[in-house]
Amino acid sequence: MELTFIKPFMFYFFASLTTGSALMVVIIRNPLYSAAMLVLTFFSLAGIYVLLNSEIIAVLQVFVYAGAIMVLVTFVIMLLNLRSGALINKPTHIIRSVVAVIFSFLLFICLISIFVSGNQVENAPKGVITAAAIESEGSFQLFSRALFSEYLLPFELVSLLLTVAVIGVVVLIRGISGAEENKQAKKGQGR
Amino acid sequence: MTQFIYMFIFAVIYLLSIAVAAGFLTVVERRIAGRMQSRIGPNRVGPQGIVQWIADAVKALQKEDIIPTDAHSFLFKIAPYLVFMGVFLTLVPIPFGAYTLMENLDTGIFYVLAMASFVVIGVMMGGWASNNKWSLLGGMRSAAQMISYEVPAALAVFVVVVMAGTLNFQKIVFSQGASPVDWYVFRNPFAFIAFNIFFIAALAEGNRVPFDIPEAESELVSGYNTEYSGMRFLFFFLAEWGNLVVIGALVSTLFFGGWNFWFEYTLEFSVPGRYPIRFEVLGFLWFLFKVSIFVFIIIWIRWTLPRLRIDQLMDICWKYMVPIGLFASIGILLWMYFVPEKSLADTIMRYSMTSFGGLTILYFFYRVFQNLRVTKAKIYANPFV
Repeated sequence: MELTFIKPFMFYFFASLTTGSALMVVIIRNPLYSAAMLVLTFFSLAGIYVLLNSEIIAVLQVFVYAGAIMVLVTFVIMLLNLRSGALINKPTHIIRSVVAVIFSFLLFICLISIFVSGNQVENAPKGVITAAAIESEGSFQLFSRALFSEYLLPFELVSLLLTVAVIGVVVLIRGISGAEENKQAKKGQGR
Repeated sequence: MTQFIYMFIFAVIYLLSIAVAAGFLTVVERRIAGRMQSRIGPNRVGPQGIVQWIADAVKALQKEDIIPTDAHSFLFKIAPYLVFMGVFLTLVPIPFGAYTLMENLDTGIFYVLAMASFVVIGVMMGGWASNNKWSLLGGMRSAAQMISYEVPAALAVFVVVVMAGTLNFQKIVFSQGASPVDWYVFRNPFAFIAFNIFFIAALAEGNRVPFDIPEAESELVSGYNTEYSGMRFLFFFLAEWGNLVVIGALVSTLFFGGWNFWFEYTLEFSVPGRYPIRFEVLGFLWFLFKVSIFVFIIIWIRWTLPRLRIDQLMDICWKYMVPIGLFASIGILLWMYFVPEKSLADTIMRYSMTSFGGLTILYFFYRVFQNLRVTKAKIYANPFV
């Protein structure tokens, strides 16, 4: 393809956007701004997936994270009405910060080791799905076939988890509104 | 390099044509609204007011771009562009003709459903960043509504995906035919149900009447775009009317055969550095005709029905449309399993559904003319005033 020359530029563009906006998520003090930055992170990650010829993962990324989860996060921030810096001004315990530093250092070491062992990753055994297979069959078909044959059990377990979450929400809401109804009924009796 | 330049050129052409279509539709909508309310509507700028939208755009460009002091200016500024981008990006995989599409995406419909999230985020951002109670309420309502109505829309799309066996728009169009018998909407009852659900859900996702509570004028001034002025306000409007085209195109692609036409007439342009550009005229015009019919129906609904209350809106979605959508999606699976294509039952069902649809339309016209005869109303059909 003629577009190959532009791919590295696109990759560095999206990569810098991803890392930059991910940094901003942590740095910015206003919760809603950092939510917006997180949206940007997800979209630029989707861009990287597209560059990797994985259309389906990119669309799923936008659909699930940018679409559903981010809207939820924004909703919560708006409903709680978090002012800028409301979370940051709280004093943090010294043990907490020490633990945070240790864990982030461990994560950093993990990432560094992955970068250093890049050569090994290249030589590692590859999956059966090649670029030619994606071209001929379509990424969506390959993805769904794998999902519903090889990885059926995890898929079903995840759907079970989601069902549990939905039932839990219904029970919680029922409990709250039921308690309110009881209160109102008691008030009525008192009169 | 040449391919990159061509990509850029085509993207600009798409962007301009959707902007022009949206602008033109505002005039069309205002004229239709005028006729429905026994008034004339805009007819001064150009013949029959046809370039009113250019005058409006120039006016909006010259206006002061007001950003409220307490608004969060960055989010406030980018919100309208996000909304417009969400609408524009949905046009990428939709085929307007045999060769007229931006990118033949394999994830087709799924991509379109995903791009709706831009609109949700943009509307919420705009509503929140305005720092205004009405805007915030409008944004929240809009987000809640869009997320809710994505569920029945996805269920209805699922029916089509099962019938076509693919998510690719072009393949969906190919698996339908030119004549109404081959359209998905008349294949079986479940697809017909799916069409109705999809159309209603698409109206709700586009914030159109009767689902326009995010910008309910009588309650929220103007909803999430209350604080906007000038060009940014216009961008919200471009998105709204561009969305009409998107809804019409989606419905006619998924259920009404897309650009399939009985005959073919292809133009070929040779361009330097690239294989010739083909343009199939008849299919394109036929597709535009279908789209404009649906756009007219949406406008017609807008000026006919009153607005829903928010609890009614949620009731319709979760208590009626989602169960009906689930019913249709299970029904279509059973239908595809037990009734193979081109079997006798399939053929009978197709023809009976098509004749049912045709008879419904005929009965509609019969009722209209009956009404006119009984009330002895004076038909004033001249559209040029």
